[in-house]
Amino acid sequence: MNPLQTILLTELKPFWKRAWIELLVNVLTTVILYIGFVIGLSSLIPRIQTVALHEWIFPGIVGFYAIIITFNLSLLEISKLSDKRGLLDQIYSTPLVAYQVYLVKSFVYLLRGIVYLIVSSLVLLLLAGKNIQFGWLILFWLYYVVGLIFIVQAGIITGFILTKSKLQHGMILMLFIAVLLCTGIIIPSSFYPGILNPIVKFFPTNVLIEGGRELLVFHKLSGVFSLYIIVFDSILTGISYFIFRRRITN
Amino acid sequence: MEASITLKNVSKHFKKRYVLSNLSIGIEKGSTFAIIGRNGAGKSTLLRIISSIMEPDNGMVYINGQEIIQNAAKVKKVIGYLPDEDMHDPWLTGRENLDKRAKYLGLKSEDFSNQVEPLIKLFELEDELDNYPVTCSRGIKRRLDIVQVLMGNPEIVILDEPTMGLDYHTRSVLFRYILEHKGKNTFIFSSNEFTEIQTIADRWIVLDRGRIRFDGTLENMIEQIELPFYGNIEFRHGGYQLIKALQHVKEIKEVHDLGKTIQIVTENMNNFLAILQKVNLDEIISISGSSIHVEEFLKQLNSDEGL
Repeated sequence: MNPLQTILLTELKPFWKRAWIELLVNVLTTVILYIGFVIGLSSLIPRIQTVALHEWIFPGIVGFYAIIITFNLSLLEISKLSDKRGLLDQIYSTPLVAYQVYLVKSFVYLLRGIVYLIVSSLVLLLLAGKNIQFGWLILFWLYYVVGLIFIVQAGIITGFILTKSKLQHGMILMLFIAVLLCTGIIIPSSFYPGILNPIVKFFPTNVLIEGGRELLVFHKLSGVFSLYIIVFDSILTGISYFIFRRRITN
Repeated sequence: MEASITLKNVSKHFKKRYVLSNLSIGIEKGSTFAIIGRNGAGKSTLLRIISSIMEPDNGMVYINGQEIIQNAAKVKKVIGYLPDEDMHDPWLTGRENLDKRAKYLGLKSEDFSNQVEPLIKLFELEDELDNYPVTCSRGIKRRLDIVQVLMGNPEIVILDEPTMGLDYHTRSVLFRYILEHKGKNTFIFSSNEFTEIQTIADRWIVLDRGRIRFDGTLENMIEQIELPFYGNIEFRHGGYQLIKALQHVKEIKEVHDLGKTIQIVTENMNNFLAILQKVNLDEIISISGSSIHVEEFLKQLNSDEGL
């Protein structure tokens, strides 16, 4: 095992130790979202744009949950590191240099997001009894993995910039409401009139959710959305590393 | 002697305030070097810069001849750094924290048995390692962090206020460790107490608002400035009568009533010994004294420089 693998496993250990709690929360939350959005809403809105509600909402619930959890985890973990400097010193006072610490930390947060993504997808598949082609599900997951990179980076940046916990919780709540109501989980961006239409359509989390839906429901990969995500990933990774490096070396 | 660490015109500022201002120092290989100063003097910042954890705004730092920013990974291999706050993961037990650190340092399991187990024994942590740090006392947590820093036997050991929270016994264990390894390893540590430094440090600097106000040894210090002697006498039933009796003694500069303990400030140690002759020894529980106090030293330096 090379040193970076060893470090990754070591960094994952605290999460691994409480994995059962996270898994339980993951399953329960997915079930609650399914009850609320699919069972509760389907008699009121049986179809959206010719697609059955449970099919329409499946990628939305998975995406919503993965986005919120990944953002929260990376924000709160970074803020813990920022608050308790000694925690970062334990790693950074070893021969690791700034970019290695940054990569390890980012990868750990991403990995946790991916676990939430996969578990909630599987729970929803079981609940809805839906037949999804395995190949498209894998593509859907891959699309999200690339997308979750910028969510992790957004969490890191916010965690470093907003140092007060009240502001952090405010930001989490704002993202929660914005993603839930304005990024295509239920209402497609095409339904928004005028200037709101491009704003909602190209809001980063909507690009993830609607792009994921195109893959899973319509079996189409949006080139524009994919390019958008890659560009956004690169920009946020650059900013996030710049802030991370500044914070740990200052 | 060969320089292990060299700082050239190092400056650092936070929010427009200079924490370190144009420092240049050389620290010899195998020596024990102490940094003394009041809170906010810049001790921790200086130690973080020497540890390659923090980058200076200006100036250069060399460790064994290598510039630290360009060669960070290489340089950090020879450094063990203890910050002035907890350096462990509260979600992991003591042993898991040590394992984690060992993995970061690339120690193999046989190295762990050979190098870390003796340290665990030395700092008497055997019975504490299966506990989570959050359930441990301040002193045990500090011992755990000290073992993390000393594992792998780093050539340069940098300790920021290492005795913080340690009991008397563990302090002496740490000091003995430093004295035994002196010569092979370079030790740099900070403190705001002269008493614990004068026994182990070969040389020290006094930092004040980011500037070096003194660089040398105890002998240099005493030659440079006449320092008053602070004597503490602890009485069984308070020393009110002594305070009254001492009110008109010329040699006494100040008398402080600290409850059962009386602190007497005299011009030198001989004056204090003379005062002791006048005291009923049966009433005394303990006597202690020191002639070196950071505050007093800085006050004297400032008055000599007309500040």
